[in-house]
Amino acid sequence: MSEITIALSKGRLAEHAVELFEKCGIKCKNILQPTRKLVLFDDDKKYRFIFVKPSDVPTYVEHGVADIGVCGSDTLNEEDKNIYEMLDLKFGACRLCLAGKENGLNKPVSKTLIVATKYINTAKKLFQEREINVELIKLNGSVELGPIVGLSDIILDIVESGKTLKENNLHILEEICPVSARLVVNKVSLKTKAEQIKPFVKLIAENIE
Amino acid sequence: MTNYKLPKGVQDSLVKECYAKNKVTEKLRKAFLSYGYKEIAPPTIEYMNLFTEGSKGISVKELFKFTDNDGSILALRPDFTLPIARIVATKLSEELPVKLCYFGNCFKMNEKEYSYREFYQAGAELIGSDSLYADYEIITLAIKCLLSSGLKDFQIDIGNVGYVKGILSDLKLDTEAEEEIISVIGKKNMLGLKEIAKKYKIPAAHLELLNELPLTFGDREILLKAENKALNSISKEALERLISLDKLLCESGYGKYVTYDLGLINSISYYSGIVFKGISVHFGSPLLSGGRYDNLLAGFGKDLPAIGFAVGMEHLMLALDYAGLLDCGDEKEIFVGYKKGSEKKAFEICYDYRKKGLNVSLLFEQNVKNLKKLKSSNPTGEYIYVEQDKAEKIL
Repeated sequence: MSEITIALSKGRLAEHAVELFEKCGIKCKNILQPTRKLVLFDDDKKYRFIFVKPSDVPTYVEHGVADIGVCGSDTLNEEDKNIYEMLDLKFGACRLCLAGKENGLNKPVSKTLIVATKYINTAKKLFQEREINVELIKLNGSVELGPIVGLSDIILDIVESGKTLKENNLHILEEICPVSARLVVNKVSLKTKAEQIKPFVKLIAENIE
Repeated sequence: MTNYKLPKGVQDSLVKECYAKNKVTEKLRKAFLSYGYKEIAPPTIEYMNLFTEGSKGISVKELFKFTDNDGSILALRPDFTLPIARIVATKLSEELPVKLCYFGNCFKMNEKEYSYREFYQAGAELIGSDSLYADYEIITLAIKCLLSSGLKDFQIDIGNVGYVKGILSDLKLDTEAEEEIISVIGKKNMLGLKEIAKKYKIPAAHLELLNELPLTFGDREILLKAENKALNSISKEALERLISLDKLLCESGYGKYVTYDLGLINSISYYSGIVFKGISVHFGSPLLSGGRYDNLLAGFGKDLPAIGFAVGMEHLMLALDYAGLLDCGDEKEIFVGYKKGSEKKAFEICYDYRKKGLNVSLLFEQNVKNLKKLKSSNPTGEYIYVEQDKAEKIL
């Protein structure tokens, strides 16, 4: 039996993922314990877990160094890797939105709309489809600052409760699409390790809330 | 200003890599030849519209393009299948079937960070037969190619686009909708399928099959199970084709190398029958890929069925390397160095060795100290020092 490697990112997605794996009989609570280690194992040593940056999960899975990964659909759309996006795990639910000050979208047509976002590719596609000329500014975190300090007119970002926006006097200007955690699988691993991965996927599918 | 960096996506192939690639290429050549496939070589440069006209599955963005003096747009070939289709349709279609193989570089402007923009392909095309036995021959040839390269853990994953096309044909949707569905099937995206089902109001029986598709892969049992549930003659025919092919493969001992995936489909128009990928646990991407494309040559004026596959050499070499099976050359090397004045004797020694069929490299004027140094960093090589009439082996 070959070893199955699962790529996760530290934080709430990992907590939910571990909860789901435990439900499926995979004893892996130990991987959530604080440690500097980047490679951890479940109690039965059947699964190897690696912790990576959220936006890197698709990369590890596409390469095949991770057979399986858990990441948000926002990351998947942004990275667009050649991998199987098999299941909606339903946790980590939020929304991808355009947000900004109340009048953020009311810019005269003669001026270019400036959008700050972590999701450059997603934004490019979105505004291309709408045939709107925008200037995109790549930010890596605290994207809400964009319209507050005048770096951008609006932002394209994921919104959970909306508290951060509210506390900073920003509004959701448009909901683009829902976002949730997904289970991704390397296209070769699914077939070469079918004996383990196929039942794993089925088991996960049965145990999703 | 001299810039010593290489452009994105290209690499130098140094001694070991070249040796290994040549060794593997020779093995593939032998495999193709054993089946009667003859090598041809289309040019590297073609008119761009050879690759972009019609639904050939290659977007303009991916091509290395440049203009000729008269303003026409040229492109470096991204694959061999289209040039070969052009050649067969216009020059070779008299005696069928035509069996051809090819070796050479292809070029694609890949945007991804770690992919090759120049890559080496070796492949085979069988044109003029739509027989099940042609499918069988191509699959066994693909298996033989991987086996002869030295690779041990691999499988050929086989599907048939007719299965999905059959399901779609009942739904009578427009091309855009079909492409959307196929894209979602290709990603095995179960949520995507649910959303599309709602969008296009897909009837329950068809929806059931589509929903199962992401997991309808594995060994031959999935074919028999699917046959019982097939909804129309197109899907049924596709399944029967796979089942018959499987029977032939099992009867001749190839059954252990193949698995099946009914959801193997990438675009609506390119492939017309069986599709397959050669994959190995030693590498995260396919090593070879191919299928039947009966509708392609008609676009070149000759309506002929065709089937073939291409091996991605870089991927195959990496897989062999990770499996510890890459032959990088361990043939014994002989080096001769001479003291100034002893050139003639050194040349004689080299001549004698070469006459015996051995490879010798003359290192010109040397001293014992330097040869000893070379010997210690290359212990399997034989180093000879020639002084006057004596030839001394360095230990």
